[in-house]
Amino acid sequence: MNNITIGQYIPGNSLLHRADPRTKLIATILYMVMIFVSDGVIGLALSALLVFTAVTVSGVGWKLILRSLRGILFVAVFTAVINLFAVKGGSVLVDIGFLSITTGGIVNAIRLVIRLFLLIMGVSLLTFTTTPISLTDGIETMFRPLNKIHVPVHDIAMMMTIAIRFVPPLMEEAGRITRAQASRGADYSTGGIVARVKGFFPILLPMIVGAFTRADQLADAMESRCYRGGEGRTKYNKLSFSKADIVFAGFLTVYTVAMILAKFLA
Amino acid sequence: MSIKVDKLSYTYQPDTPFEKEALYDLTFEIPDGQITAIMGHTGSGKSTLAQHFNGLLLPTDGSCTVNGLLVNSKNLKEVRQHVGMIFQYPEYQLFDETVLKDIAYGILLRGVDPVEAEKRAADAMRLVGLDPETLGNRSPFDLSGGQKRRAAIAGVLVMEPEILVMDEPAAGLDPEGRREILNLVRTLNKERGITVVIVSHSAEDMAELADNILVLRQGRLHAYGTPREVFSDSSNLEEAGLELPLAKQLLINLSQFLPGLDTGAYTVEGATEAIIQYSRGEAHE
Repeated sequence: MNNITIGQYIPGNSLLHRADPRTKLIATILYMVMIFVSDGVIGLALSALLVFTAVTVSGVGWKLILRSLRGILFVAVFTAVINLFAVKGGSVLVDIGFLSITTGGIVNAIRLVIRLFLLIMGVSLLTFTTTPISLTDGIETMFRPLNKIHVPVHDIAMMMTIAIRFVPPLMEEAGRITRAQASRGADYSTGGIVARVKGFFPILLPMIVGAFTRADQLADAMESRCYRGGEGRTKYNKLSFSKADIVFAGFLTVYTVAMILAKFLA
Repeated sequence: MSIKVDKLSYTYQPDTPFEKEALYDLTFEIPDGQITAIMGHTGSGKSTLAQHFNGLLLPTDGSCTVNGLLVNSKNLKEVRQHVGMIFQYPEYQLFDETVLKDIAYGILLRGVDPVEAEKRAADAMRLVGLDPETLGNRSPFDLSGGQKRRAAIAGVLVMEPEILVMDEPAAGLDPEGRREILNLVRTLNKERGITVVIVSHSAEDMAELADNILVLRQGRLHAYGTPREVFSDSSNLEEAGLELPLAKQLLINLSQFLPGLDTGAYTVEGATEAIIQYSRGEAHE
């Protein structure tokens, strides 16, 4: 349970850490779009250059980045294999009846894996350098205009914040209860499906009871401090754009222009 | 037969920025049939150490041997048959429909027949001072805080462990609940011969209860001996962020005004005895 890296915040004080969450969100979305729009070698190389630079600047370390890639290795291999056989084009290399591998398929599969890896690297970099709280803060501010059409933006953001806030204590509790039941002889790795699912009840039940107790207490605590939703609520940590954001935006503009040029020149 | 720990080290989340060395090069032996306290400040590694005794954590370096069995990933089930583990706030592990069923969970998993299991669960309830007639078929969530804790403890005792590891069993209880739990520990040890390892930071309780005291400080073995030895040097505990038992503190303070007062005692009875002795001596002079 200690090996989850995707979605984990790595404390630091790099340019990426200091940038406003809104900048980072927009950057990530832009980057994702660019990766999917570009199909040439130049486009992928540019994106790789951007994300490699970002990783270096962030100071997160390659070890963690590679570990986050390990999580999607299976998905990557799976889609690559599907592509290998499904995409036709170029000359035929192998042909066994209904299955055939073409050069087009190979190129496509490689391109897909690179794209997927670049994508995950970009997204995990966002969560590595942004605390969940500031991320939801950014989302809330960005989507505030939706309030006009009666989308409860603040409530949704608050729910997200609370959900994220309670992941660590719930994980800890899950760990504690799992260990307690394991000490009493529980075994989650042997037996049939039914036995395994049943084996989880002794963990799940106390967790649910605990989660409700916590929720109840939290509601009381919030109410006793006069929480009444988003209207007129001010923030302790106000989001503001800084020099880091200008540098960041500069890089991003260069990247976007280069990507568009690469697309049209190709 | 005992717990032998040899050059044990443990590191949380190695090779990540969150890497944290919790235990460092511990070597000691916990004798059979006695009550041994593990004491230390918050974050000194007490709970981490306790979890090595039944293989919930495996040493990063060094080894832990329980009843002659080297704890490793292959013999966890066997180790856990010897060693019962009661966590902090064990009431959070209750889950079943009735108290009896919950207590019987462990032995049912071991394949004990349900009728027999229920009988043993009722015995375990009596052992911890709960009445199986009135409480046995209630939902564990309906019990009071102290009762829940005792029911959870019964769920471990029902498995008849030879060694019982308890992590702060009295934390968060009122004085009466506290006394009951500590008395239970004493009974289990004296009458059933169970070896008890108890994690605590209350010098008061451990002075009354423990045969041996092991003090951890920042993951290192700071002191280990009988209560008399460990409490004889106040720096032992103070350096580790703990306090001497009040009775002992009182004796030390008094001895500044009453030269010749024996400050060796560390329990309330012992201190009373020492003061009476002293006053008798004074009267003779």
